[in-house]
Amino acid sequence: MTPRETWQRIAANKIALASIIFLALLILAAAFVPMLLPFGYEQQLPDSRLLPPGGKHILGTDDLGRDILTRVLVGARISLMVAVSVECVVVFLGLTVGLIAGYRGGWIDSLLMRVTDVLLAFPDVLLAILLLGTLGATSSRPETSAMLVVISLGVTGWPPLARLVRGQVVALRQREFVDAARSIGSGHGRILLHHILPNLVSPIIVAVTVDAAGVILAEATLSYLGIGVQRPMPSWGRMINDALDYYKSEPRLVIVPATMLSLTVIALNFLGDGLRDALDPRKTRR
Amino acid sequence: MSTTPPMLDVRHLVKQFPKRGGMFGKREVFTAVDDVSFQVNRGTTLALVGESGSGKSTVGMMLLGLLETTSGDVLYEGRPVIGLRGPERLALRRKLQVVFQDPFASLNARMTVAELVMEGMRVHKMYANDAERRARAQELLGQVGMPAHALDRYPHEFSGGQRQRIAIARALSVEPEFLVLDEPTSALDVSVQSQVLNLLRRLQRERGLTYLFVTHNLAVVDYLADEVCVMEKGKIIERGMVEDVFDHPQHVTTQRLLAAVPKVEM
Repeated sequence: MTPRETWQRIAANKIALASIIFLALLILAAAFVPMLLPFGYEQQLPDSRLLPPGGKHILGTDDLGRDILTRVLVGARISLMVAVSVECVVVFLGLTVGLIAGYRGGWIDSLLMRVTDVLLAFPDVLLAILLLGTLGATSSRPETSAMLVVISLGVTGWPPLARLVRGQVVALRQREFVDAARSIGSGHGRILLHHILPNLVSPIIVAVTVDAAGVILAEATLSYLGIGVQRPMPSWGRMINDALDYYKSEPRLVIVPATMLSLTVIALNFLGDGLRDALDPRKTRR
Repeated sequence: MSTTPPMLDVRHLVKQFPKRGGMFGKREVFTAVDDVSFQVNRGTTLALVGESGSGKSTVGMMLLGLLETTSGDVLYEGRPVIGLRGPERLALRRKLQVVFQDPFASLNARMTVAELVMEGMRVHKMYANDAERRARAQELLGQVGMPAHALDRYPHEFSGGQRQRIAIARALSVEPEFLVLDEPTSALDVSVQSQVLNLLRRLQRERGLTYLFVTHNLAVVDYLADEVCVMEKGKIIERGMVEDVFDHPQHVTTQRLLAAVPKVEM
């Protein structure tokens, strides 16, 4: 299937297309809108605390007089950057482990998959909390704290992808076109690079898209618990945590970041489903 | 039999697979290929015939080095080939090529026809650059009856017969002497089977190729092969020149396989 056909299939799926548009707008808004707004995300205006939406502050201000729109968009930046960085780590580790285990087989496969099983049996977030506690996230600078979140979620998040990749590689390795490549004289490197890897791209893209939603939630969870991204950096989980004292009188302090969080997670899940359908060569267009 | 040494000499070839479900860790084995010996002379075709599960494809896989042998020897032009490694293995791979049964499975769907046909030339560092390899690929496609615009298409854009032609062009790309044809027409429509067989016969004549033709279909054997070995349960149960075996089949299995051949004048 050519990329063009894939794109046509995704575009034909309205929910997936809507998800792409939402995520694209979110990325653009997160990248550029804070620059256009006259407030800094950490800028506190003592005279404008808890302002309702409207006027200069489109979504109002929080308890410290910070502009909520600015903060929720900068928060989007953090959430998306954390998600992308974590997925890079996850793909690197999961692909390496899965490729080696699936292609080599034997005792190496058994060893790597037992390690994977052990990690899978442990809740990711719990492991990440443990790791963050050990790395000392709470005492570090905001930038370092974001980095530590990426490391801990990346290091704990690769096992499902490794499993997926390994399974695919085991199946691909037995396919006739791999035998054909071997008989023509291709070495292991060429077979992995030209025959196995291109057939892994679709399942990995789908898995990563859906997993990114989980990462955004995990980051929000960690930040909500106070051990993720540190103040004054405004991740969505952090904002919900900060708003807890006021949510009864000012529910929008929770609703705004929580809505963004939910919409993003839902969009990623829908996009993942749409990609799964679009990239599946067995499904033919109607 | 001719007096020159055979191109391929297979001696007492055995392949055993571990059997599943052996009780109390007792190691049971399943013998897929049981003491198989045969010779193929240069420029001729030997058909390895048998029902599915007779071990005929397993023999082919072992000759190609895609499957390890349990015991036995394979001599190619008088030299042992089992256990070859590195450059020697690579050199042999160039001489010995394969066409598989299912052209939907044997062509990587993510590669263009040009990439598929050029892969072997790249591996074996044939020709100076990709432009020359591409020109050669185009030439090969023409020889197997494919249109020139096929180069930049993907395999799924072609019919089964055309795909098999692409697979044949790929096999020929490294200038082999010997082709293992593993049921090359069984997955194809009856109407295109004879076209592919014609192509294989023409290529053999033009290039002096030697074929090992693995099949369950005796009708195509008559058309392409000089000699035939009939296999059952891993053993060769009957062998001889095609006319002799067809006229006087000795074994019941051979008679049954012959009875299954539709009587159609080609």
